[in-house]
Formats: sequence, C-alpha cells, structure tokens
Amino acid sequence: MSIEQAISSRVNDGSLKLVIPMAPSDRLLRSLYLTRELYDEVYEEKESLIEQKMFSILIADLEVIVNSDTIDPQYFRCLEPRKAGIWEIRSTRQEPQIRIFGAFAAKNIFIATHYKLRDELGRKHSGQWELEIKHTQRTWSELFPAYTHKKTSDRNQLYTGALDEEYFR
Amino acid sequence: MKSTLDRNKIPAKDIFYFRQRLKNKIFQSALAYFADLAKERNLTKKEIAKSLSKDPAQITRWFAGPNNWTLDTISDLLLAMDAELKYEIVSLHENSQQTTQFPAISENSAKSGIALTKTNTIPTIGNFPNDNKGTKNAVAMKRSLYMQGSRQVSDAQVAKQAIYRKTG
Repeated sequence: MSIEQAISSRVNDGSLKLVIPMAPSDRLLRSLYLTRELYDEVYEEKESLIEQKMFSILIADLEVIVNSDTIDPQYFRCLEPRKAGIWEIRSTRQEPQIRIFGAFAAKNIFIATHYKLRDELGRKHSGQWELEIKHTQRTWSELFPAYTHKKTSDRNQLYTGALDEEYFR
Repeated sequence: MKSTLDRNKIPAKDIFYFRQRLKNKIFQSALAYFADLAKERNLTKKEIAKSLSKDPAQITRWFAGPNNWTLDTISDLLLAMDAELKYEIVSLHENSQQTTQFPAISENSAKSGIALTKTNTIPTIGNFPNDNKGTKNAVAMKRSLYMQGSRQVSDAQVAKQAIYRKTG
C-alpha cells in the first residue's frame, strides 16, 4: 500500500479531512489534510464574532497552501531540530497569531495535526515547541503506523512554488 | 458556494474570509514578482527601500505578512518594482476552477490506480501536473514582452511566444 492509499483509507474512515477552497474559482494545486479534530475545531460554526473572524482568517491562510501559485518562505517553517521534519504553518495575519503543526506525506501533500495559539508556545526555544513536535509525531504514528513522513527541510522537494528564502533575508 | 447575489445577507465569517483571501493573494503575487526580479535583476529589499525613501526595516515588515498592507503600500511596492496590478473584476463563479481544472488523476494516483473525484472524500493528490512552473514562465514571458515595448500583452501573445520557443 502506498502512502496515498493510506491517506485514502484515513479519509474514508473519517480521521482525515481534505481542505477544499471556499471560493469556486480557486484552483487546487496542493493537498492539505486536517485531522478530524483539527478540522472540526477550524470549521465548526462559531458563536462569537471574534471567533468567527479568527477562524475565517485562519481558513483563508490555510488555503494559501492549496491554491497559491507561490508560497512565501515565512509561511511554512521547519521546526528545530530540522531533521525531525515537522513544520508549522504560520498564520501571522491576525491577533492572536496561530500556528498549525504537521508534516509532509509526499510532495504537495501536507498533513496538519493540530494548532496552538502563538502565545501558548512561549519563546522560540521553549520546551513547548518540543511538545508540539512530539504531539505531531504521535498523531502521525497513529494515522500512519507503517509510513514515515518526509524528513527533508528542502522546500523544493516538499512543495511546488516555494519562493527562495535568500531573496527575503 | 452560493452566489452572494442570491443571498439577503452575507455571513460575517464569509466577509472575514474573503478579506483575508484578497490580502493573501495580493501578498503572494507581489512577493513572487519580487523574487523573480531579485533573481533576474538582483533587486534587493534595500534598493526598494532606497527608491521609496524608506527604512529597509519597513520593507522587511511589509514582506513579513499582508496584515499591515494598505492600498498605498501595494502601490508603493509595485511602483518600486516597475509593476502594476491587472485591473479586471470577474465573478467568483466565472472561472470555476475546482470543477474544470481539478486533475482527474494525479501522477501518484495514476500509478496506484486511485481515481480522483471532486468531493470531500477525495483520496489523495500527489504531484499535480499543473504546478507553478507554467505560471511563472508565463509571467516571465509577459514581462519580457512588455520590456520589449509591447504595451498590451495578451495571454494569447504569451501562448504564441511559448509555442515559438518550443518549435524554434
């Protein structure tokens, strides 16, 4: 069984959900899957206007992976230690800022496991980041016990349209 | 998604979503354009700052995210890159890409025999045939034609140019 077929099984048993852009004119260039729990948290109806705003912005930010021709280098960040191959999607466009954690199953296929508010993570090298990496690894093992995720930090091997970091330093 | 013309009231969550979507699209396009110029003409953030009489840190802040962008920011940045937006407003439903361009079978799926359909239970998507190379080439060609003196460069011209290059 390939990793694609394993993903297919997880979709069919309801553990993963594919993100489909809300706007009908948007193309689907890459695949973003959310764990069921994450999907429900992001997409369930929100009562307060503040929450509606927060998660609507998050959805628009998540869809950048799915439909943007190019992706700026600050959008995705490989967490330290890089050899772990765990990435964060940085939704920096609002307060509170949000980080979505996950890993690449294959080129252009990202599996997002969970999210945290940036404020909950503490400083750059706080122990909380390590906990989030472990959380992602644990969730991955539960979803795909027989498969490892991509462990390179070379963006071009992980997704198309990666803008070169060098120009933005 | 239903047409907003058929609704009495657009939900707040849709309004927030589309505001952010617009910001993200302009932001990603502007940064992609900058990256192309940086590669082809060695343009730097510092040069942009200098041409706009701004602190380089300001350009770094602009490039960090679209949240603080205003229409003036976009205008300034594009002007510094000798560029402008294409002004064309289309219906959200006019180019329904999800049904017309969604790949029937991805490279990986083709190998494994998994067919894709446009539903929420799509099995998986691998390396799409429609990656951004074509788009970037088209952008580069369009800029090249523009620099050669064509004020109005249509997509048809870009396509023709691509065919000429292929066939020599």
